Amino acid sequence: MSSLKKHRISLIVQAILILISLFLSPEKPALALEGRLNLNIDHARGFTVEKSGDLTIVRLQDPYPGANSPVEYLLVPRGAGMPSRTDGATVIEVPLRTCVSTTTVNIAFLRELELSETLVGQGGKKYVYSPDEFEKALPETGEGMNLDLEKVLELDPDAIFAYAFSPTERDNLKRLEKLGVPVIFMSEHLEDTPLGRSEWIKYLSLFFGQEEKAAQIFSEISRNYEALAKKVSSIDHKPEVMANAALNGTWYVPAGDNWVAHLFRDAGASYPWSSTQGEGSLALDLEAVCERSVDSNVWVNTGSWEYLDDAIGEDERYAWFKPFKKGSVYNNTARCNDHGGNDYHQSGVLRADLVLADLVSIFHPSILPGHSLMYYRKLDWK
Amino acid sequence: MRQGRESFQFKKYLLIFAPLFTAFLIVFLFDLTHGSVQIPLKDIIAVLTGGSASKASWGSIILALRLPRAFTASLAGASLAVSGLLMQTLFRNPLAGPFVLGINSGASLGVALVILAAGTGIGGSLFSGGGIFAEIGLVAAASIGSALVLGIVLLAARRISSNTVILIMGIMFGYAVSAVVSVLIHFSFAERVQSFIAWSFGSFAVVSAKDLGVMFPVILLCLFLALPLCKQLNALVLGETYASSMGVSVLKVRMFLISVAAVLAGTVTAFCGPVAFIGIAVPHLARNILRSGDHRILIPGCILTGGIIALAADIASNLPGSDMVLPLNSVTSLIGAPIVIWVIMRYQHVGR
Repeated sequence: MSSLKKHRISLIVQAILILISLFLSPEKPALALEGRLNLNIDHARGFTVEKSGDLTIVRLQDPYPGANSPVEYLLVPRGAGMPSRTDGATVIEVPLRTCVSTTTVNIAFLRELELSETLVGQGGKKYVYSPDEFEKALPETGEGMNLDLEKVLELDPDAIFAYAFSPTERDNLKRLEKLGVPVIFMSEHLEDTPLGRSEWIKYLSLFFGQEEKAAQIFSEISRNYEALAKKVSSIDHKPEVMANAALNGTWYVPAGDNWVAHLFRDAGASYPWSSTQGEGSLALDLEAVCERSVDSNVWVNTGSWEYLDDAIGEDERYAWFKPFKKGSVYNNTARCNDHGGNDYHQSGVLRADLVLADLVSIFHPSILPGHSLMYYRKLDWK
Repeated sequence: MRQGRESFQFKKYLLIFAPLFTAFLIVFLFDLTHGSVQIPLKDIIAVLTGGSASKASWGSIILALRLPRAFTASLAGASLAVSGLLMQTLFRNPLAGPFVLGINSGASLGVALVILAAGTGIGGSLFSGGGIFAEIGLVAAASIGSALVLGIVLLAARRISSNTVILIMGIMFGYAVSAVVSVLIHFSFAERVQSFIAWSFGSFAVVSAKDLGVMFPVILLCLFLALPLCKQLNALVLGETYASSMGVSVLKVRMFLISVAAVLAGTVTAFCGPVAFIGIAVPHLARNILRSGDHRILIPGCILTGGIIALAADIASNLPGSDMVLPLNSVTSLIGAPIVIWVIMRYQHVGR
């Protein structure tokens, strides 16, 4: 009863907040094009695409976490001149000839689209997993809070692709935009499904006029993914999975709507926090995780551990968990460089099908006999 | 007779401040030549004198990035130094600084709410629902936070007669607020925590020319308000009893000093983050370099010395000859602390 009451109060508070935010958000009439055509986006919820003749509108629902108004990009063919109305949208001449990117995901997307040469600068190069010769030679522009505005201006790209987690980063990017470098926000990390993240290759491709190629690439990935997920769904036995590890006594686990939780479900595992709400993480204490997960079957995504010894070094109590005793602990760090770059967060975002295959072969080895893990590795004793 | 004294004063001023001002100009110009992109001196001079550089992007780099950064550093250094001086005099405590009343705690709480609380587990849907917190700018959040603290301190300052009690109150306030910030950090994501920590390092580079349009007048006004107070400040150095016997209305002056010092510190913190060390150290440096305890000399002295130190810290934090940028606060403290110790040791017979 009381929890119901609490729920009701929180709903009311939420409604009030939304009302206030509606008043606060500036009136921004959406662009409307004659004879428009909605492009097919099947899984990603973060962006929509409308086409009309030469013009394309890309609408980004949440350019960054917590944004309360969408961002619109009006894509015009290079050299065609400014459209008569822009209605507050950022006008971008496509295809982009050069760009700077501060996300490693774009490295994977651009490689797949064979557009790597458009990159003239990369932020956070040390996080790029296995850079090729071209990427190694790119100037470092800094990323996030350390974005080097001088460097970007000097490189003079047609646009910059960036995340904007914090207000400081947003202010920096706004300044860059005023100085003539259009900012294209990336928010594939806000998608709550693996295929949704993967589909962002379409978003990127729009700015280079490569939609068809992107659609081809993505349809193959989603076909593979869905076929495998369907195969797994017929199995009744669902091993219980536990995820992540404690950090200073707090154990962050993916909430039920998190894309990782989706992966667990699609890979045929049962996940104790599957029915919780939210796309972020739950901050739990050791006891809560212990109670639910001590008899799990598999343990995945264990952070920085390279060996089982690392876990014991952090906290001996990790050995209480059944997966630890059985030695079925897997981490997504099979492809890592020395600086913290992890291909799981690079090509793994695009290749949701391969990540799923890894997890399926961990949870249900019989379904994919002979599968060799790509992003995951089994942790051993030193 | 009077005439003679005034011209002596003027000569003395000139003798003291001409070299200091020259040093300030040199550091200021050096700061402009300095950044991650190498721009030849002749192009910098061309851009500054209204011409154009040999590369189009260099013009906007100098005018839109470096000039605001150098102005911000000068203003921030000057304000923090004066704010620190006022606090040290008011509380007659050499360890006092601009943030001693918890002004920065208020600002950091505001910023923490914006950066950390938006979309976290605290209050669950409460914060993520509206996304209002995420849309308030950092400057606004920090200003609101420090203004709140200032309000509370002023309310207390009217009722509490002892300066020490006010001081302790400010420090306690700081503890309470940092506890709340810790809770916010605990429930936040790694990226958010990182960006909050980055904010707490301070930076002069984040202030744009548009921001300066607000920051500059506010700071200028406060500095002008501080100047006529020199006589009262000089009396306060000798103690409140002495000051009131000299006809200084201690309570009034206290309210006024706290307000001016807090607005100076709060404005800088709102735009640049909690820039450490300058506010405590520069007043000592100024006292020792200028060998004076007279606020008529100390206030302009602190303005110039503060500007110089802040510009030097900005240059050092951009690590000449490399792409790396060090956190501003570690530079001010790491490089500043030995300098201050050296200066104070050297002139300790003058030190108060």
